Amino acid sequence: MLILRMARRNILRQKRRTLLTALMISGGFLLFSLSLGISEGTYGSIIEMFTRMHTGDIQIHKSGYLQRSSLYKTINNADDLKIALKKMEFIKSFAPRVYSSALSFAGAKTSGAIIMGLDPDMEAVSTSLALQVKTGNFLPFEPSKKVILGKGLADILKVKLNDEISLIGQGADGSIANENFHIIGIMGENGSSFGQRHCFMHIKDAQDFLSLGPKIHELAIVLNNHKGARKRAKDIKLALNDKSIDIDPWQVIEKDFYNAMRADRKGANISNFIIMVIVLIGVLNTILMSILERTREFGVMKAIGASPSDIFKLIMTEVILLGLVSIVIGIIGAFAINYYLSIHGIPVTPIAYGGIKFTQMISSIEAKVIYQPTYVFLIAIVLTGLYPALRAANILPIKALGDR
Amino acid sequence: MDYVIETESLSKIYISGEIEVNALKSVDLKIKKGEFIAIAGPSGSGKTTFLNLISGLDSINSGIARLAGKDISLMTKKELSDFRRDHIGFIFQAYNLIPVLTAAENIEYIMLLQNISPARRRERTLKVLQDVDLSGKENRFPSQLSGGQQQRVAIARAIVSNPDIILADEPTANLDSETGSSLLDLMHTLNRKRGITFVFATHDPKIMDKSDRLIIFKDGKVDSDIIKNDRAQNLKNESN
Repeated sequence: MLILRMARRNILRQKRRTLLTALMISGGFLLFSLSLGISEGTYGSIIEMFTRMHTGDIQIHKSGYLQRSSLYKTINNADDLKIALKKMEFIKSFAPRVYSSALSFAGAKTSGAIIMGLDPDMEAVSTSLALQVKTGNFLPFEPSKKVILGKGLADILKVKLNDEISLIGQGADGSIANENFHIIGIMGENGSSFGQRHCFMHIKDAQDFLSLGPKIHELAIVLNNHKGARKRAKDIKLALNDKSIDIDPWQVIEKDFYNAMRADRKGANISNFIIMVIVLIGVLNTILMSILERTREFGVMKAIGASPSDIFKLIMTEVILLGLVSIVIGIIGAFAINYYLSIHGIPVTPIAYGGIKFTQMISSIEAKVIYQPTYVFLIAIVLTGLYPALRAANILPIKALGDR
Repeated sequence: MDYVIETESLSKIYISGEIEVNALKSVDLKIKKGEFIAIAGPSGSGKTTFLNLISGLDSINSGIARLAGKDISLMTKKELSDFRRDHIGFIFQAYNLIPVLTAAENIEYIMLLQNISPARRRERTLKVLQDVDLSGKENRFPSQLSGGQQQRVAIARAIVSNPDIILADEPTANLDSETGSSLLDLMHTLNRKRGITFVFATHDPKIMDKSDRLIIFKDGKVDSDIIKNDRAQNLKNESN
C-alpha cells in the first residue's frame, strides 16, 4: 500500500504534466477504439447486408463452379444435401438456386439477362431478396411463369408491371429454351442494388425452362451466427465429405469485397499504430522527465537500502497506475461515443459497393472495441515504462546523490 | 572483539579526463561498536570518500573494507543494497527525505524494504518519532517541516532499523547553531543510551568536541587519530 501511495503521489506531483499525459493516452485510446468500432460496425453491417441480401454466409456449388460457371455444373444430389444440412444445428436456413444466361425480348427491345431461379419459400427465411422489390410483388410460392426483373433490365426492355417478356436460352438437354413470362415485380433502384440485369423466377420455372430437372447450381446457407462462416464451411465440408462439391464461406464468394475490407483494415491498423507511437513517445518523455527530476531521490532510496528491483517496481507501479486511470477514462469516452455512433452513425456520400449502397458509417459497441485497445495500450504502456524503470533502477547512488 | 568497520589499505582514485585524483590513500582504520567518532579535515581530504567506500555507495579501487565483519568489495549490487538496508543508517547534510512521503512514511519505508509487517512498522515508527521528539508530526510532509525537524526525521529513519552503524555526512551543516546543537545532543544520547555507533564526516567544531574519537584526514590519509576520553580509550582497550 505504501508503494501504491508513493506512486499515486509521484504521479500527482506534476499535475499539469500528468493531466496532459493522461489526456494523450485517453485520446489515443479513444481514437483506437473509435477506429475499431467504426470499422467493425460499418463492415459488420455491410457483411450483414451482403450475406442477408442474397449471398448467404456459405454457398455450396458443383466443384469449380465459382471459378468458371456453367449451366452443366450442377449439384445433382440436392435433396440429400438438404437433408444433411437440416441436421446441422448451427445452420439457420438455406436456399437452392439455379442460374443461367438468356436473351430477353419485349417488343422490339432485346437484352442479355441473368436468369436466377429461386425458391420463394426458402428465400423468405434465408435472405431479404423480397425486400429489394421496389415495384410490384415478390415471386409466388408456386411456379406460375411469373418473373421479377432487375431495374436495369426493365429499363432497357422498356417494360413495366404486368407486361410480358420472352426469354430464349440454352437448355441443359441441348434443346432451345423458349418461354414467355409475366412481369410481377421490378427489383432495386438505378445503380444501387444487386440484380440490375437479373430476371428472377420460381426455381421450378427455371428448372423447366432450362431442362434441368431437380438439379440446382447453388445452395446458399445462412448461419445462426455469421461470424463463424469460415469454420462452419470447414465443418460442413467435413460432415458432407463430398469431393464433387465446393463449400465456400462468404469471404471466398465475395473475394473482392473481402480483400478490399482487409486492405482497409490494414490501413486502419497502420493509423492506429501511428497514433500509438505518438502517444507512447509522449508517455516515454513524461516518465523520463520524471525520473530525471527525481535522480537524487532514487540515489537516496538506493543508499538507504532500496534494491534496483524496488526502484523498478515503484516506477512500473506509477506507469501502470497512470496507464490504467487514463485507459478507464478512455473506455468511458470510447463507450459513450461508440454507443452514440452505433445509433446515429456518421452520414457519408452514398457509396455503392458490390451492388450494395451504404449511406452512413456506424459504430459497433461489441466487447472487442474496448478490450482490444485496452490490452494493446496496457501492454504498450508497460513496455514503454520498462526502459525508464530500468534506467532508474540502475542509477548509481553515488552519482545520483551528487545530482542537484 | 569484532569491529564494526575495519579497513586495510583502503584506496580510491578518481579519474577526471586525463587527471587522476588520489582521493583516499591506503587508509587503515578500525571502528568499534558504540563509538561516537568525528572524521574531520579540510575539503577534499577524503572524509566523504571514506564514508562512501565503507558504505558500499562507491567502489573500492584497492584495499579491504569490512563492515560488520563482511568484505563489502566482494558483494554484488543486490547484496550491497540489502547490507546497507540492514546494517547502515545514513544521515545526509541535505536531509534527503522522500518528498511524497510523510514523516512517518519516510521512516516506515526502510522497514517496508525489510518486509516488516505494517502493524510492526507503525509501532516502531511511532516509538522512534517519540525518541526524536516528533510525536504529533507523523503525518506532515517534509515540506511542512523545518530543517531541524526534517533532520530529526532523517535520524529516526536512520535508527529505526537498528543498524550497526550510522554514517552522517555534515548533518548539522544546513542547520542553525541552536538546532544543530540540539540534534547533536539527540544523536549523542542515542549513542549513549542505545549504543548506536556514529561516524560523522564534519567541519562542525561542536561535533568534534562531542566526539569520543577524532580522526583527522589530510590529503586522503589519516593524519591523526585522537582518543579523546576514557570511554573511547576503554572501547579501544577492549578491542586489544
